[in-house]
Amino acid sequence: MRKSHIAILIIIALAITYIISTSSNYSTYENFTTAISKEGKEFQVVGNLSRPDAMYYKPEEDPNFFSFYMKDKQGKEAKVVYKGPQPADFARSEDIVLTGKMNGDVFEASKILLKCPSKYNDGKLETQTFEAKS
Amino acid sequence: MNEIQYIGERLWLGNLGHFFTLLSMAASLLAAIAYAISFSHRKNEIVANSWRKLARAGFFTHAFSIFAIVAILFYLIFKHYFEYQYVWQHSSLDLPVYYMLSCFWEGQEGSFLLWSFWNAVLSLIIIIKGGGKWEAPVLSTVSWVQVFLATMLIGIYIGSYKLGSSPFALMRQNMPANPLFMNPEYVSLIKDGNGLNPLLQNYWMVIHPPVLFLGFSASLFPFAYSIAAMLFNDFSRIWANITLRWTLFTSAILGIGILMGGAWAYESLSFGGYWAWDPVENASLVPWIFSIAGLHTLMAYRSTGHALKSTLFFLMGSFWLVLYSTFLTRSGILGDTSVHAFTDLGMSGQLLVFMLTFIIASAILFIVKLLSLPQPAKEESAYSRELWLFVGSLVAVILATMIGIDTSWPAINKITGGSRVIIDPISHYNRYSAWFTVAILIFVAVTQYFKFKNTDTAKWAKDLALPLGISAVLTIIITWAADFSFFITYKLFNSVEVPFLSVYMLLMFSSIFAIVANIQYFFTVLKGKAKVSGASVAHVGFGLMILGVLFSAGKKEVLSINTLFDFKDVENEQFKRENILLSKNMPVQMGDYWVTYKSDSTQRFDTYYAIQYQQKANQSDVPSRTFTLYPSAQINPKMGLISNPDTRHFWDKDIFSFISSVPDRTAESEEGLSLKEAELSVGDTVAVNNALIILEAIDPNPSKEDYFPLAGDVAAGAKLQVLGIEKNYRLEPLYVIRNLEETHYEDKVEDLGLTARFEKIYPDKGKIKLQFISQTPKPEYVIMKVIKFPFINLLWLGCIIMSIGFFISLRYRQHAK
Repeated sequence: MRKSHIAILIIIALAITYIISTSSNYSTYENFTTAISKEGKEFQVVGNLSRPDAMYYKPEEDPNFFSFYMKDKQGKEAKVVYKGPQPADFARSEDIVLTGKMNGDVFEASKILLKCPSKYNDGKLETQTFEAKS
Repeated sequence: MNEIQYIGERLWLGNLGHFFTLLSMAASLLAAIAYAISFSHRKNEIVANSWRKLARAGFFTHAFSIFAIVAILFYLIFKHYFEYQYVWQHSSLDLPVYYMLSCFWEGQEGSFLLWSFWNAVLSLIIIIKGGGKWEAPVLSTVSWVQVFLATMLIGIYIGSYKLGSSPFALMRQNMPANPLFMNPEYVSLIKDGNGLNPLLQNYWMVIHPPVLFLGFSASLFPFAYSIAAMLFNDFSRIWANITLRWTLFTSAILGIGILMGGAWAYESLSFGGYWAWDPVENASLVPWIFSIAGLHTLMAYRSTGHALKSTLFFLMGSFWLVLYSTFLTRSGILGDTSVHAFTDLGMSGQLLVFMLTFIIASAILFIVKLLSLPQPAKEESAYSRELWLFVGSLVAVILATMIGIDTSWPAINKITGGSRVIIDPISHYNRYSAWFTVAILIFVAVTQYFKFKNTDTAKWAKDLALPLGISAVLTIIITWAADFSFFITYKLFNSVEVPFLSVYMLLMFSSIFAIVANIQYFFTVLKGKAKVSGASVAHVGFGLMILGVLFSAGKKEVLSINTLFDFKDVENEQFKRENILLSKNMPVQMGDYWVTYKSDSTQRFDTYYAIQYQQKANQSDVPSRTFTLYPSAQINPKMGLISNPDTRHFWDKDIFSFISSVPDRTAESEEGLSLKEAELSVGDTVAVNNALIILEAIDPNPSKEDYFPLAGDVAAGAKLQVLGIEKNYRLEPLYVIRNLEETHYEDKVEDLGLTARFEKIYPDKGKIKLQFISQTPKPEYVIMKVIKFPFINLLWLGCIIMSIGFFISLRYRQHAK
């Protein structure tokens, strides 16, 4: 066997090992029900804003605290807390994609992705991402 | 229904444009076929030449058509002919000329056009400089690509399937149901275009796309030369030299294009960085890595005859991946995972055919030729440069493949029905890329010290001893001084904890090692000859670049940590409070700075916030340095808050700041108004809001800009002194009776939002009645994020040096036969 073949095999083996060992970074789109059953594990949940009146953001008090209620695609509602400023245009968004995990009754979002109806894109949806931590 | 006769449409230009799109397609088809026939008659020079003549005529016609389309489309944008959909959608009247260039390539059609344009330019260079026997097969391949690209622009229906999307389509054709188009004079009713996405209104967006697309175009040529070599069975040194030049050019331009994209992101996006592992970024990075890998194995092949198969694979792979990335970013498949993919134009089927045609055809050719490729009888030595060039390239390509797979999850999910997502892309990709980069940097340091064929290992070790020692010492000093951690505990299989050198430290060491080893190579082996220094210079640049990434990302520091309001969730340290509220004129401490929001001003749509930074330890100290940054924000009716960062560059760090939220001032409500009435005699005082108001005197002969006294007027002015918290003001509202009618002239203190109105005189009581309308002051604050990026200049310096290295090599190899 040629040395180059051996090198290939070794490297591919290393790569596969590594991919497997880091596969915990992957997740799947879920709903609140699964997020509740696996409390503490990170998920992405898609849904819509529910009860717009209950949105809470008072920057004078704390600029890094924003909370609201979201209904996932199955209709389950949960309170969401996001440790960052309220994304502009939040109420107008059509779909909300949250990344985060359940903590008790509250879904702690580390990232909010908004799909907004955008005139720039011909009535098509446009996305915007907001992250609480860098 | 009668056809409406529209007035004011300027149709002839669009018709001319349509004509040229069709002509460009027909002509490229002619060139593709004629070049192919010319190639197939290569044994018979006369026949081959006559076909080549025809092919060239076709190609010249094609190129001319492309240039004409570009010129017409630009003219339409320049002249604001908004009846054209593309013009309306991507531009507006207020744009300066240089941003009209960005409008040109904001949409899919324009960027396909840009790609075609570069393909045509580069091909013309081959024809003019004389492509020899390579011209026919190479330009046939290019012309086939051009045929496919042209179909993206024709926008005609074949049955119910729309082929391509024309940049010359009219608005009324695209949205016939809109009632606007019932009006024959609709053209004069369209006052302005939809406008260019404000995020793209940045000078980097004027030059980044053309450079990146030049890189995409360039990658076609190593591919086409590889195809041609397989068709000719000619893998001579002449072929290797030509292909090497094209690969160098591709690597240089694609690299510069990617870096410009990073510079744009750093300057105009507020995610706080230059690289976010966004699918669109990855989609251009992966072909670049393949091109770099192909460049290195081609060097090995040229000198030793080894690594031909991998060279062909990497060079073709680079173009395959350009096609694949085109598909990913334009088919809409990335959906919500990318912030800056193109909008879906419903061309995913067409894009898929484009991609698969070229990948499958070239892959079949490669497989067929695989066994007959020339191969040296002798196996390469373990101590040979060619082996390590190959292994290093392979490591890079495996990294690129992993990045490519992780970028493809949205596409893979679509096929498998899965729903896998990467939660935190930056840390996910960084985690494995860091290790691969350590390995690649070590290859960069040591591989040149191997000789082709075989190496005296004792000498190899001796040569590397000095750089190794210097790097180790420097690493320890810098790691310690910059406070990087030397060791970190790794969890193996989620249970066993193993202490190991931190990847930061290894990266530090390997990048310094790459830099030092290449500097030494330049002076000792190359004897300081600048002409041949391309590789060394590029390698030093690469090392510096990684060092810059390491410092700016690894030692990045968020200065705007919120300490004032940290009472909520004190136990929850996972979320750092990275945004801070700055009230106007209230200094807040951030790191070494006291930061004050001083003022704001609005230009066009953007509000610029003057944020003053004073470097001092205590608030009362004299600042050792003062500067002001102007991050801007606009509440865009179409996109919400658009924030443009502002950065102060120092030689050793950047202070990067952006507005993360602003109070919505348009949402002022009536509730904020309060009315207070008071009956006062001269000398009386009344408290309104945060001010005391004293009636000083009644002025029987008042004057005011908007009051013009007439004979017979009864007029009085109330001279008021307003004592505010910071300042005192004077007001004089008037009360006038003219022809038995009362008129009130109000007076206002803007700063306090206080309006005074002289309501009535009670001569019997010796009092007057005043009304005070006060507005609760508008909230004046911004919410900001401030990040310190140390030594980010190393990154940019590294990028520039690496690019210079490519061009030195290109110049040196310009005339190699």
